[in-house]
Amino acid sequence: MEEFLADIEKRAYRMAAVATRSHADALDLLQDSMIKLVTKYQNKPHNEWKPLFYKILQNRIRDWQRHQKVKNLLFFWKDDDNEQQWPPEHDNAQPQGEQSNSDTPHASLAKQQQQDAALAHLQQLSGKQQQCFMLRSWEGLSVAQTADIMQCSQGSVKTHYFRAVTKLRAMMEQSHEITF
Amino acid sequence: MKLPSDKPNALDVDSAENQQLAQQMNQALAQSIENLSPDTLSDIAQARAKALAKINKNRTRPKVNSAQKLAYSNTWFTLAVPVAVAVLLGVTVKYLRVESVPALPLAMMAAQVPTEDLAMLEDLEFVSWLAENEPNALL
Repeated sequence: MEEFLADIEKRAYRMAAVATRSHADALDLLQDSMIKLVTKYQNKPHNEWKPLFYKILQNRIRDWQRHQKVKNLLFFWKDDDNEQQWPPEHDNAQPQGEQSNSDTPHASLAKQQQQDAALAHLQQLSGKQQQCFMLRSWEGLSVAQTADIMQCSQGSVKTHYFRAVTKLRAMMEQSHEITF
Repeated sequence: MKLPSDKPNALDVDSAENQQLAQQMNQALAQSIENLSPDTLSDIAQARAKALAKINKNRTRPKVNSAQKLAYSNTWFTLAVPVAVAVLLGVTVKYLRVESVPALPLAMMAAQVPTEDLAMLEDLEFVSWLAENEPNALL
């Protein structure tokens, strides 16, 4: 279980952070999901852990989004004090000594900018599109597994994925990051 | 000659362009987790440690199966039920003791009360009521 969590935790954190745009909230969601997995499902077969964990995480993210919506409705006059700068600046700083020798500072900076832009585009997608894109594309889960995790039909998964890709493509073309 | 159908279809999710885009996004996401700061990594590790601590907690706590639960509840029942019954009986007996019931007047118990006496009592009651209300009477 420890190995599994260590393997998946960074990606899960990134998913939660993209959805919540907050380091603290992302950590809370990650920890809650891990606790639920280890307390309720540790006896399940190992190959079921990954979809189960993502199902728990996505449920937590959806709950969080609902709470935020209600909170924003109730306290509409308040500025969103949870809105933190995300990703935190230090998260994107490449650790010293890990920069490959072949990367010139210019190339490294360009790579960094590209990464920031990609994450910013991803954040502009709707919650479901984000979930769907990251589960399908990044995690490589099947349509059926994604549908089970997102608790929707396989057709909806395909629609969300298609819309996510179309939107990302439009945004990237607009910012001249790619041309087709 | 190229047919329109030969043109890469933007609507096709699996088209080369879309695959390239997905690859680019995946790379960006992968890089972003490689570049997580030590503070963030430490926070994540702490979250994992807290979750794993729950496993150890569950392991150290002896498992109570349903039979044991039943036995445990039976022990409570065997103690609680007799005590409750004893208390209930004690309270009931205390309140239903013969001395606690007020005795009826002997006159009422007597079956041989003459009917004339009752009629006279009623007359007497009426007369006394009349006497009381006489000053207020409007003629």
